[in-house]
Amino acid sequence: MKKNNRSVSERRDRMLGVATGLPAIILLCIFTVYPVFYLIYRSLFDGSLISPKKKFVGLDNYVEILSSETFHKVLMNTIIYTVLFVGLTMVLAIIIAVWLNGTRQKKLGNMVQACIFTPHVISMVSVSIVFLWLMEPDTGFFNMIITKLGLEKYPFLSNPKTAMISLVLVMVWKSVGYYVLLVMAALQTVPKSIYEAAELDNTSKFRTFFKITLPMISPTILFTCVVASIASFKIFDAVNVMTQGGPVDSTNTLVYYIYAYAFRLGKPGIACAAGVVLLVLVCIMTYVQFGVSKNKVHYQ
Amino acid sequence: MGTIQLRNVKKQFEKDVVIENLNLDIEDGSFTVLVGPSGCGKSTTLRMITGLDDPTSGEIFIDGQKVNDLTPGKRDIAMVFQNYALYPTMTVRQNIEFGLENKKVPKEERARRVKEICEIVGLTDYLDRKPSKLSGGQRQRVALARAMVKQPKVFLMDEPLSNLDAKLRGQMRVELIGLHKKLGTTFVYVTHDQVEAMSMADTIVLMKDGYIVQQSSPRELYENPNCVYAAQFIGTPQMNILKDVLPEGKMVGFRPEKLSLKPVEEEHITIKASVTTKEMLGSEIIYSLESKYGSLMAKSEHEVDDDAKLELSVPFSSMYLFGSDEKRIALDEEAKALIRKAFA
Amino acid sequence: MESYNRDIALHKLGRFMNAALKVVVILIFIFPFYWMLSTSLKDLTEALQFPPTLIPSSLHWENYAHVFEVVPIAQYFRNSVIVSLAVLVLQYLIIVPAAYSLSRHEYKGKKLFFGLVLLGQMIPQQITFLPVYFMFSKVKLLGTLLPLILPFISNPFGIFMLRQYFMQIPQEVIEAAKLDDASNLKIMFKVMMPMAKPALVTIGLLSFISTWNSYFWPLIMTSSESLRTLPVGVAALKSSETLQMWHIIMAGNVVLVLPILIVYLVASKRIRNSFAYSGIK
Repeated sequence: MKKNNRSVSERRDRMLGVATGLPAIILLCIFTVYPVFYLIYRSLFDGSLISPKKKFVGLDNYVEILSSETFHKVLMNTIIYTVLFVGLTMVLAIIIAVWLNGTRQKKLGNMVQACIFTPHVISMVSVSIVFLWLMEPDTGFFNMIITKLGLEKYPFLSNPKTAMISLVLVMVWKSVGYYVLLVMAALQTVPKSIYEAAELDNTSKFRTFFKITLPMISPTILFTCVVASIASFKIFDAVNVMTQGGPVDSTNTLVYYIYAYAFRLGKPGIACAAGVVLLVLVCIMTYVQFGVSKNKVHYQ
Repeated sequence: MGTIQLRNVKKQFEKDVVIENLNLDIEDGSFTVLVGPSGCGKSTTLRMITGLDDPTSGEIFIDGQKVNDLTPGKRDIAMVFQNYALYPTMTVRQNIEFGLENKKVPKEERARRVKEICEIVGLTDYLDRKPSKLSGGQRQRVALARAMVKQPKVFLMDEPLSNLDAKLRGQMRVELIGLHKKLGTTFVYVTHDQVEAMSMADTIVLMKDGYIVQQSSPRELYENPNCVYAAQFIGTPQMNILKDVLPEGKMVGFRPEKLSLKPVEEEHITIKASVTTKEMLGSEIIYSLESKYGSLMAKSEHEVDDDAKLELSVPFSSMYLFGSDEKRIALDEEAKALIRKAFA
Repeated sequence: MESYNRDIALHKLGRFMNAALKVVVILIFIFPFYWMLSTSLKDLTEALQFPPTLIPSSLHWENYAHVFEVVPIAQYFRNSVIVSLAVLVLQYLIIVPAAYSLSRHEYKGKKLFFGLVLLGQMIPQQITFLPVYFMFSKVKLLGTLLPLILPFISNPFGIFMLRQYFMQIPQEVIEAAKLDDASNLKIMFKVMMPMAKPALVTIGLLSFISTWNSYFWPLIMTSSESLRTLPVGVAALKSSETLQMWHIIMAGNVVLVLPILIVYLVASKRIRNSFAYSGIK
């Protein structure tokens, strides 16, 4: 048997490595690893928020949510929201990014960039409250414009048909600046000489965008879409401040459902089961993200 | 016809005047090389011909037509970029066809032209590959093919060989010369490498600080440079220029290869010098020498001992005389007498 | 010649339209801020007037004093400051050694540690909140600000980013320091950290902004008024005694938005670059 001959300094090196990493390891275990396991564990019990008494019910919680119409609606809403948000945001972001990237009005272009990014830095609460006020059914600014155009006042957030899309538009307003930033970074990896070659080939602006620019940035776009989708699954703040999941559950999304069952309806077992569903979704999408990110490295 | 004329062209970037007043004539069917150190304006000039940059003032004519207001795509020209600028997401075939598609060339015609070009450049086996799967030399050929297939009036090339290794570069040089002979189209070629310029051009345009120093054939430039700068730009090692030997700031110049280690018959001057270093190049030897007139370089087939003390001969027929303004002046009898006196 | 002039005119028109469109876009994104401010300076009747006025008829600065009276905004503000600063400072103590450990030491389990960091980036707070809530409840720490601080000081993104930066420091620089007889601690502080300054700034900026703006986590972890942070407090404005008092609500909103806006105005480019880095990595 070979004897492990480690020098003293190597040993000290190892110990130092472990020692410096230990605080982070402990914290991560407590606040990331343990909660995941506990979530799964707790989802197999019923019980309430306040009393520690709980009874093992196996997969009953899962059966209950998976057969619940509300939960189905919640899942649908979350997916619809994600598709709408990611779709709208990315299309807008690409259009704006290409527009700003190719503009000759540099100073003005920079101002536009800085301004559209501003909503992204402030709190979601602030944005929600402002838009709640702007969309106010009786005295809101938007309704002033609408009445000036001769139409009837519109209750954006209290109409089940329009609540979701109103929510989406608010979120798009908040986030598009960030995605413009990402798309612009991708655009800047396209060497100028390729555009010049296309100019010499007498290519129209349209054709240049669809046949050259877009294919070249598409790996980044795809990656960004996946990342944006993962972020969309987690939407809560706007829902809680603007619509509280209503009207008639039309904006009830997964995290709001979990929150409601945990803290309003006092059923942590159900909440944990729904949390596990979210966990599965996040894991799947993260796996996809990983796969997509491999294609991101393009050519020199 | 692929003639090019630049008239009173000025190019200014913000406060920087890169090109003051350029007048250039490029003959149809010539292989014209714009050469000079970086910053001399050669690439800028090329880009103004393409239309990718616009002159601050002045006019540009291609084939007799003023092109200042024409977009690059409408000038009937093609360009090969230094880094090839191939469309990375398209195959070789698509890269070559792209310009033809924009011109609405019908499908059969396109296929025919692509096939023809690929045979000339040697790309037939690679038509369905993407640029990332090609070597540097292959990418270069694609860039060439893409330019050639458009059958333009003028080919413009911006240092196309500088990203290749030395061996490939030599190969491609020969191929480009052959291509030019075959096609007969005007080639305008930019490089900083004087060897490339001398070997490929039929007309060299030597540039410095935004103006043309000399425009002539390679042989003419070598044998009759019109100033010190031109004389020293061509030829390795550089021409020996001796200052402070003649009165009134005049300078004498002679090429290292014309500095004879053995006595010569024709009228000449002699310079005593000692050898400091020898560089063996195989077929010839480069000597660094010290003389009372300063350091000199010589290039010869003959070998002498290290530390040898030599008497070098410079025939008047190989000598150049430059004024204090560095411009070339005639070597008449009066000048010869002056020189004889200075080197006595 | 005529068509040439016409082309120039069209070109100029195109440029003008382009600029005009940019201005419109700027307005779309700035207007809600203006509306927030404008409403906060109106009195009750004017605020609820329909159709609303674009500019307040007079500036009622007392609304801001009012909002501080009606709800303990000062307390909320204080809590936000404490939490944001605590996370900002404490996390450096955790993530710098962690990144250092991951980048320049070898030991068994290092891969596991790195996996843990990646896991931390992957698992969102929307999944961990309930178990962590129970955890803090059990140890009776829910009555403090600690639940808002502790889970975030092991910022996995920060560890990840710093590790990358540390890894890019050439080995020769470290070796030169070792030859200069520097202790490991000294190397970390005097050599590696200064070279990673941009990363530290980015991490700090992103962390401060995200902690200040955080709503979900403080909502869950704090039930008493005295512990609320600003976003939670301001959100509550719209459903408490200040219901429908939009001028007061907006005043509270301005208080919430202002610190971040000021930071953004000062360091806009830096902040955008930080976000870009975090989005591309």
